[in-house]
Amino acid sequence: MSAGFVLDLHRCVGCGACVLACRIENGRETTAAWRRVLPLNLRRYDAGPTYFLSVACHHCDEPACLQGCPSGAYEKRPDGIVVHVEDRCLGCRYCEMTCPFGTPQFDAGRGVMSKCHLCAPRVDDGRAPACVATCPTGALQYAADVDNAQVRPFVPGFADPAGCRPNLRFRTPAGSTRAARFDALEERLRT
Amino acid sequence: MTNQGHAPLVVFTSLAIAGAGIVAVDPLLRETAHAAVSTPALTASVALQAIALIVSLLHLGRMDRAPLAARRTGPSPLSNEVVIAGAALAASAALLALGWREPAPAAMRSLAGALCAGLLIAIGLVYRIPAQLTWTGPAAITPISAGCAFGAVIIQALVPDLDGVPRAVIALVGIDAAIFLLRWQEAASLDVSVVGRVAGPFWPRRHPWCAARFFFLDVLPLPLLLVWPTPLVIAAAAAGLVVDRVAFYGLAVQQTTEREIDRVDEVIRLQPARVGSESTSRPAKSRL
Repeated sequence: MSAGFVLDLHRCVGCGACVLACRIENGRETTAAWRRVLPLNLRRYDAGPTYFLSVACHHCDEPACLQGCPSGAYEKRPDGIVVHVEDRCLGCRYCEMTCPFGTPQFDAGRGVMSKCHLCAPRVDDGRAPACVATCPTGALQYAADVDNAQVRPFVPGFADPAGCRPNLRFRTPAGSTRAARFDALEERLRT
Repeated sequence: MTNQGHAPLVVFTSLAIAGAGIVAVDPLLRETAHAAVSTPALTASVALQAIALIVSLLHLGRMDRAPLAARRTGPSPLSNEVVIAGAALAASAALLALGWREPAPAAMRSLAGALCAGLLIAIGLVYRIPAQLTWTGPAAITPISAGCAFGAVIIQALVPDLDGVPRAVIALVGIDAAIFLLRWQEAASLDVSVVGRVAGPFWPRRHPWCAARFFFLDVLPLPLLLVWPTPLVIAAAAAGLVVDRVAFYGLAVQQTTEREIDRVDEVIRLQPARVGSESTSRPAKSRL
């Protein structure tokens, strides 16, 4: 089982409420935000669709952070959530180099790394992660097992060249001009 | 991690590669060129390795947890590097202590040489990271090739009765030159229009950096050895090694979601708006 997020690109309006909710829930400073919203084609060029990628840790099946960590500061729970054990972190920042998604953040104040834990305490209580619970459009969803979701693993702007198998899935626009642009962009990137 | 954040790693790897390189090539040179690491060179090696370990300790966010670095020896390349670095320093220091009055046993020299060679390999493996687009090819081999070339040049520079440059030294420098040329070629072949926007200020000047590294470490020391100005040889090789490490970290390009979006944005921007049109895509005024 692999817990993760599902992001509906048609619904996400890039409001940043998920980022704010994450900071409030987890007490993050602005320099070490666990979630970020990244716009694609913000200048709205004709040749591609415009959408927003709300990304945090993808709780990969083969997490590069966990595999490289010298002190065992990362653990993968049975439900698939990758947690960072702060008491074991040296602050060597190696995970910052190994993650192909730029996820782990260095917390200079505490001298350790930090990253999204998928609001594990909330999930254990049967509640949705703070970012999911706050999303006003329902674009960001939590999935206890993303493999069961009928969604796409990759979209333009999100790639996994390191073979980490991230647990983020996407719902993409269908039956519209935007969808046509989306498909055309994917085709161009393939060629 | 930004290029600025790499500064302690430049210092650590420069010192560790220099220190380990001297001891690593000693057994090889002793057999083929009748040259052996001298006491001053060995003393310098031990000092460099010790300072390198201190620098690596100081760059940690939590120095008090440094012993945990060896916790995942085996699976983690960084743990392996730390453990081998400690063992190489201990063996080099033992070699220095044993050889202070009389030549150290050959077995001890071989052990120290093997551990230092292991450290050079381990340093390369630490940075063989799939997420780092410019470190996965020949760059992962340059620590051992550069370390051996540096060590050979330094040992030869300190041999009192040099009669020409031994073939082993020429071979080690030549191997490093060949490997570095591959690394340079790889850096030159990456698409700078995409990579350059996220790679920092080093990337547009990668050719001068690579040329300086090649000149100081692989070209200049050999003729200087023949002329025999020892300080100049050491200065040139040391400069080459430092430039090598600065360029290694300076030319780092990490795969991140931001970089991937940048790449796709560039594809969209450069795409013709319509089939048959010569103009590139244009921003729309009000359309998502």
